[in-house]
Amino acid sequence: MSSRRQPPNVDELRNLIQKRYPQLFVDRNNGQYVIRGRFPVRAEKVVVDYYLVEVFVGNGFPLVTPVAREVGGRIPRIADRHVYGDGALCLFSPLERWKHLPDSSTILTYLDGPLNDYFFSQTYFEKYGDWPFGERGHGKAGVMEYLAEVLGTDDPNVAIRFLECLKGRDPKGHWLCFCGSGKKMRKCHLERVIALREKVTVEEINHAIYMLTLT
Amino acid sequence: MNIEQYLKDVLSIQTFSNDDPELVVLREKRKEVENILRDAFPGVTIRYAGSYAKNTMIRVCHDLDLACYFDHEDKQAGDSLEEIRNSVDTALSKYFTVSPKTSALRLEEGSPSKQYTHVDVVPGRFINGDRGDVFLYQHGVEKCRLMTNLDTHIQTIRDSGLTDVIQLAKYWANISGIQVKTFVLELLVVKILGPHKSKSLSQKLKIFWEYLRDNLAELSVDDPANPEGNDLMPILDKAKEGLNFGATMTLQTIQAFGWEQVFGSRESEIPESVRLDAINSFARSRIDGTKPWSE
Repeated sequence: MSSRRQPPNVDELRNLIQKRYPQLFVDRNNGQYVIRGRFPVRAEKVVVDYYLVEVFVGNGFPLVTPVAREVGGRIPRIADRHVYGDGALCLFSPLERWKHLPDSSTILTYLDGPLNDYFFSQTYFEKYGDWPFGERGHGKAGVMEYLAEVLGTDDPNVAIRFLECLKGRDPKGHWLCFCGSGKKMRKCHLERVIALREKVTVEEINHAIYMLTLT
Repeated sequence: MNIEQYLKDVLSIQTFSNDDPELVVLREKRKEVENILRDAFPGVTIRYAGSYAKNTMIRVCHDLDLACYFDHEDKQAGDSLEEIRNSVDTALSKYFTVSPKTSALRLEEGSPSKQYTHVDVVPGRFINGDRGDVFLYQHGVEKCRLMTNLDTHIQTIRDSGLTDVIQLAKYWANISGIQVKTFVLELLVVKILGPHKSKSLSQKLKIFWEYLRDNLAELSVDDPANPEGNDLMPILDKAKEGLNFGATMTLQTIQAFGWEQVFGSRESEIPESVRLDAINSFARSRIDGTKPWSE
């Protein structure tokens, strides 16, 4: 599993962010970093919009995704706009965190990447009523969409066994594959298991299993 | 940098001159809508409302607001307020796509590349012969009848001596991403800065933001046309967090980096067409953009 590294201090974080985001201010509060201010949404080099944001970054970053809120009131706090009732934004499903916030990520990776993508998508949706990069279905459906892309099947039982395999013992090539194909792992899904095992956390796997077992 | 001159420059960019091509289009649009409504309802009163009438229009976000009022005894559009609204809707629907708002009928047209793409028509009926107070029908809410007075609203804002600050406050809310009803924002400016009209533009803006930052709990506004009957507090309450946060961040920004970080520079202004091109290009080219989810 991914390891955690020493978090920067407040001044280091300010220096990291300031040049690119001069209207974001960094403070430390209750053991978290809090980044607040006016977030510029970039489409390549062009600033196309602004949102007022508040981002809470815990010491577990990047394995623990920061909690971001849009404070200006522009985005309705409804599931269809991918905002929770308390205003927290849902940038991606937890199981996909590794794609957008790999282990080497800095806070700039987060701001330039998934947070910018999210707000860009909201601006695009306001204009055109559509999600430019697509969207995941709510809850269980969204988790299953991703796993179906990984596994090539939308069978939730296979998905759950895959997830169990991710957090279990190191898989062996001679094991029968979890997917029920009857093939040995090395001839079936072994590579996919190995590829993902190092990238996702146990918490993310357990959360996905929980979502898939909801009725 | 001379701050007052800078703010005046920002204001001049956002303010339409009388012969601005966009204003010409706007006036033509009014004529078009007026002709349609007069054909359908001879003798109806059509007036500019909103920012055009109040002299607070800004370039970055503007639309055309028109009042469509029937005399008290005029039944050509129907007896009830709801019938009047429906009749006006029907007349306009022959020429536009009409979307119902609470008090207005929104006419959608034009391409997404236009700076403004809608006209709001507010149907109503004068309460009596003096053509002052009107009743409007409110769609989709419990209290379906609203009493208001267009002249009172226009005079409160246009004659406040604060239209320049109102324009900058509207611009600030728009570029900061703060969702607030324009009318409520205008009233806040008038209420907070009423005692400070003689101060400079920058001083007035700072006082405004400081009030939003420090007096959140006490913030309140009344509708001057119907202070007892029209409760604006639910609308204001929805916007308080954004106004407070935005004001706090803006004051911090000014202290740390100066005014240009708030309103930008002339060089940083980009045409809407460039902005839209960038949005469309990025949407096409971004590989593996994040797909939002929610539990």
